[in-house]
Parts: sequence; structure tokens; C-alpha cells
Amino acid sequence: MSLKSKRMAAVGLAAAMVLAACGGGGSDAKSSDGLEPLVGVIGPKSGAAQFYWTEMTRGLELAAPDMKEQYGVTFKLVEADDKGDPAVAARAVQKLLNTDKVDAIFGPSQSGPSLQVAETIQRTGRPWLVAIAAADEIVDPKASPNWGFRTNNNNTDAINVSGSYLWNSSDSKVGVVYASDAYGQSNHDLLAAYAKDKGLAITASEAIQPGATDVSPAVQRMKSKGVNTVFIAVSTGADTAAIVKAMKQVGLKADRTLATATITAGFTDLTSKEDWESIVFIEPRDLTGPTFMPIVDRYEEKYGEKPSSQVAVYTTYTAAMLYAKAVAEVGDASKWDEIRTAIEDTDKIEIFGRTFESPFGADDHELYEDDASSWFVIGFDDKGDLRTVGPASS
Amino acid sequence: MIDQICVGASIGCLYALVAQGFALTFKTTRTLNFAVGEFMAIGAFTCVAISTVAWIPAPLKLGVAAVVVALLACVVFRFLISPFTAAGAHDARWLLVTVALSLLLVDVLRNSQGTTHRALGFAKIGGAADLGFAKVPGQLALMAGVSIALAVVIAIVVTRTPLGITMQAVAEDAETAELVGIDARRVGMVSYALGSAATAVGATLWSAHVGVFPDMGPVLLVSAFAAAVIGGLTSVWGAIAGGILFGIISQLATVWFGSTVGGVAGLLAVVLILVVRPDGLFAQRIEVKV
Repeated sequence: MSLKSKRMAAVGLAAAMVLAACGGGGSDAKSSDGLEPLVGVIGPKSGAAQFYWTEMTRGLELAAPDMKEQYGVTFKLVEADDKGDPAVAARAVQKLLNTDKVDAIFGPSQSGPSLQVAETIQRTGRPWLVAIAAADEIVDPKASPNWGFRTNNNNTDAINVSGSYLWNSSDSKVGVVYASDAYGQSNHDLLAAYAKDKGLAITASEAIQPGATDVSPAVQRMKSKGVNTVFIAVSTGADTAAIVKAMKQVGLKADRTLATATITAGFTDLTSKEDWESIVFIEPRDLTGPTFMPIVDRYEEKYGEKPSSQVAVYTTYTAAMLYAKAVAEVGDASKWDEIRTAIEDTDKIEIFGRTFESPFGADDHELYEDDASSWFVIGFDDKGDLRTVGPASS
Repeated sequence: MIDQICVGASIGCLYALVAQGFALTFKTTRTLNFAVGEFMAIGAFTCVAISTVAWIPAPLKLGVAAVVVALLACVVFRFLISPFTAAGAHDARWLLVTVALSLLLVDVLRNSQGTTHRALGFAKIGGAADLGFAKVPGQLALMAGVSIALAVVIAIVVTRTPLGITMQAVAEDAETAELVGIDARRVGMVSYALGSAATAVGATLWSAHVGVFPDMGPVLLVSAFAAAVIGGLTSVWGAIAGGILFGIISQLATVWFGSTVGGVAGLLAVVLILVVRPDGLFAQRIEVKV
């Protein structure tokens, strides 16, 4: 090779190296590939809340064929175990963002870890699908640009609708039994704030220890204060069962007994028919309707069992479809800001026949609103299966 | 109020049975099994596994759980506890081993069985038991009845039978007992088997009320340990009294002052008793001539 040729080759090589260095954009070669985004999934793969991880990953698996068929999008997943621990989540999300250079993040599934990683994700700038965690502060409406999009309802919306259901008449004397953990305390405080805002009063508030064998003292005190409407804010169906049994034990017959959606985990297994016939919870999804049941049916068909949290499966599925739609519109998963804008500007999306019109906006990154007419009262039938009682506004 | 005292005493009977397991093993081996909570969960999950086998009656299902847990306790004592007490009274490696075993087992249970509460599948009793002077939920009454019966039987075995005399001999001086032909290690294994099996039965009946879940042990463990301390860590009768006392104190404090105070009232009682009687209310004081 002549000297001139060698010089040209060297210049060409250098130019190629410079172009390669500049052309990577936001992600490296192992990252996204057009319609094959590298998606970081973070959640409690191990630890006490492991079922959330199972439901989140299964929600993504169930969405995979639909994403491919409707949008031509296939996720390449990078999994991260936060063990349900905020500190672990903080380290895991740093790795996802900086080492794995994922194109989007799904999770964490719990509020504590999600709150811990929120600032990091907002600062780094990556589409963030908050599919399960419900604490209000996770998705900050004032953040600009806002990278977080929630496909579950937040706590405040749930409490606002619950409040209107609990204080449905001027005779309502509302008592709250709540677990002395973050979930119970948060729900209690939000309901107290709702009541204060509306000029109402909670007649009795009683905390219980999660996992307590007997909670009849707390229920007895509510009864003695004349409570006729009960709100139960505990994080397991087992604790709800303990409260309902105690109500029967001390003879507290409430006009309305409202629990939260956590009741679906094990409540009917630990109680009998007469315990569950008058208790309900409120949901923005019609859990027994034609716009929700298909995902449950597909879940049971694919995995041979009922989901531990069908809502978590549905909201993760919804998040996946939303993100896939945006990726398809932009055409390149590594253009993170364009993807973020595309999700924000989504005109409508249909999930199992339910259409969400303009689900998000520049200052609204929550899929659900607190309009009681679009929420549902869910109870149990004779067999302990879920049944839709009616709209929450009734 | 009488109802609440009876409910507290009923829950206390379960604490008493678990506390007695602590007292039994501490008395004979000077060790405590901090993985006993996970042993309870293993017993309960064993029952869940066989709950659908219709031809096995409920008492026998509890018996299966007891045998499984007793065998597990024997193995754990023989291979994980006994070797780590070899260096004498100041050798506390067994403590670390049992705590590590607890963490290991709870992770195995979570990963294999999931974390949601499951129904036991049998021994479920609705309604209330009418005692004449008070009413107690039927499920708690069953649990309390079986727990206290087991605790009393164990206490009689330990204090009135040849096996119990052997245990007491080991408890007082293991080296001297071995000189007269008593196998102290075997006595330790029997203590572990007996205490763990009885505890598993009580906890399994409790799980019919609250559900079966991997983390069910710690919920009982703190209260049971406190009950054992109240009664005196070496007194099998004291454990029964301590458990019932702890249950009643916690229940009444919850009734009067709410769950915040009720949750710690029993533990405050423990501190008070330790100040007044450091060996517990019923432990036998042994004067040592020096």
C-alpha cells in the first residue's frame, strides 16, 4: 500500500470512529433497535412482595403478541430486582439507566422504591411507565419535562371517590380502621384531608397492627362511638378478614363497609359467605366486565392459575401497549424525548374494548381521573367471586 | 370486658405453647431456636399441601405437621445447633446459626409458596363459643383449647415422668448426667422435637384464623419470647402463665388505650418484671455457693 493510500485509510478510519462516537445518540449498540426497545423492568423479584414481580412480568408477556401485531414492537427486557427495598431500587435503577442504557423503565411496582427512584429517572430523562405503584408523589405534575406516566389510579383519586361513597348521606358516621403501616396511614391521612376539605368529620379512627390475631377492641370502640359506615384501609385480605370477623363478633352492623382493592388477596379464603356479602371496594376498572375479563381469561389460559393481582397485570399490560404505540409512532425507541412526547400526545388507546380518549396531557400524566361516575363498586357473589355492584356514583 | 379478657387469654394460650417450646429447649440445652417461626410456617404449609386429601381426618393432618416439624427440629439440633455449643456456655454460635436458618427458610418459603395468605383448608370454625360467662370466637376457642391442653401435657411430661426427670438431670448438670449414662445430646433432640411439634400444631390452628403465609412466625415470636421471659425461661409451667398474662395485658391495654399502647403494653410488662424479678415470675431460683 502506498503512503497516500495509507494516509487515506487512516483518515477514513478516524472519520469512521468519530461518526461512530457521535452517531450513538442516547443509547449504545446493544440498546434499542428501532422497534425493539431495550426495556428495564424493576420490581421485587425476591422478598415479601414477590407476587408483584410475577404479575408485572406476566403483564408484559401477555402484551407481547398484541404489541407485535398492532404496532410491530418487541421488547428486549433487562430485569432488575429491587427486593422491595428503596435503597436497592436506587442502585438498580442507576444500573439500568447508566450501564444498561435502557430506553424505558417499567416499575418499581411498590410506592416506596418508586418514590426513591423518581428524581433519578426524571433527572436522567427516560420514558417511565408507573404501572402499579399508587402514591401520588411518584408522578410529579410540576416536573418539566415529565417522564413519568401512570397507568394505575393514584391514592388521592381512589380516596376522593371512596369519600363520596362513604359520605353518601347526611346520616353517615364514618369510622376508619387502618393498618399502622405506610399504606394504612397514607389512606387514613388522605381520607382525613378529603373530609376536612369537604367540611365533614371522621367519627372514629382506629389503627391496628398488621397481622393482628384479634382486632375486636378497635372495632368495639368504633361501635361505641355510633359508627354506621366503615372504611377499611389495610394492605392484605387477611387483615380485612380479621376486621370483618371482629365486626361480627362485637355486633357492629354498618350500612356500608368499604375496603380497598387489597381485599382481593385472600379475603374470601379466610371468611365465609355472610362475611363478604356486604363488603365492597371501589375500582376505576370494571373487574368483571367485558373490558377487563379478557386479560384474566388469557392469564388463566397461559399460566393455569388465577392472578394474585389482576389489576397489576392489567395496568402493566396497558402501560406496555401505550409505550409500544408511542415507539411505533416515532419509529426509533432511542429517541426518548420524542417517545415521551408521543405518549403525552396519545389521542386515544383502546384496551380490551375500553377506549381512553386523550389519556395524558402536558400537565396530566395520570391515566385515571377521580370522576365517580367512571368508577365501579365491586363486591363478591355467593361463591366468593367478584361481582360488579354498580357505578361508584350511585 | 369479660369477653375481651377471655379473648386475650385465648391468644395468650398460643403464646404460652410457643413460649413453652422456648423454655423446654433452653432448660435442657441452654439454646433457643430462633427459626421456630419458620418451623411453624413449614408445619402450616405441610397441612395446606395435604388439606385436600379427604380420607385424612383433621387431627391426623395436624399430626403429620407435628411429625414433619419434629423431624426437622431433630436434624437442625443435631447438625446445626449441637456442634456450635461445643466450646461451652460462652459459645453462642448456635444463635447466629438459628437466626441465619430463619432468614434462609423464610426466603425459601416466600420463593416457593408465594407471599399471599392461603386458607388452611380445614379446622375452620365459624361463630362464637359460649363459655357461659363470656363469648369467644370459635376459631380462637379451638386454638386456645388445643394449645393449653398440649402445654399442660408437656408440662406434666417434663415434671412428672421418667423422661422429664432425665431432662431435668441434663438441665441441672449435663456433664454429670452423661457420667451416669444419659445421652445429653439425645435429650436435647427430644426437647427440640417435642417443643417444635407442639408449637407447629398450635400455630397451624392459628393459621386457620389468619391464613398461612411465610412470614407468620415473627408475628408470634416476639410475644411468645416475651411470655417465656415473664414466666421464667426455664419454667414450663411459668411459660403457660406468662403467655396467658401477656395475652390479657396486651388485649386490655388495646381496649383501654388503643393499638399503639396495646402493641407495647406486654413488652413494658416484661421490662417491669425483669426489673423486679430478673429470672421471671416462676423460675426456680438456684442459690450457688461460691
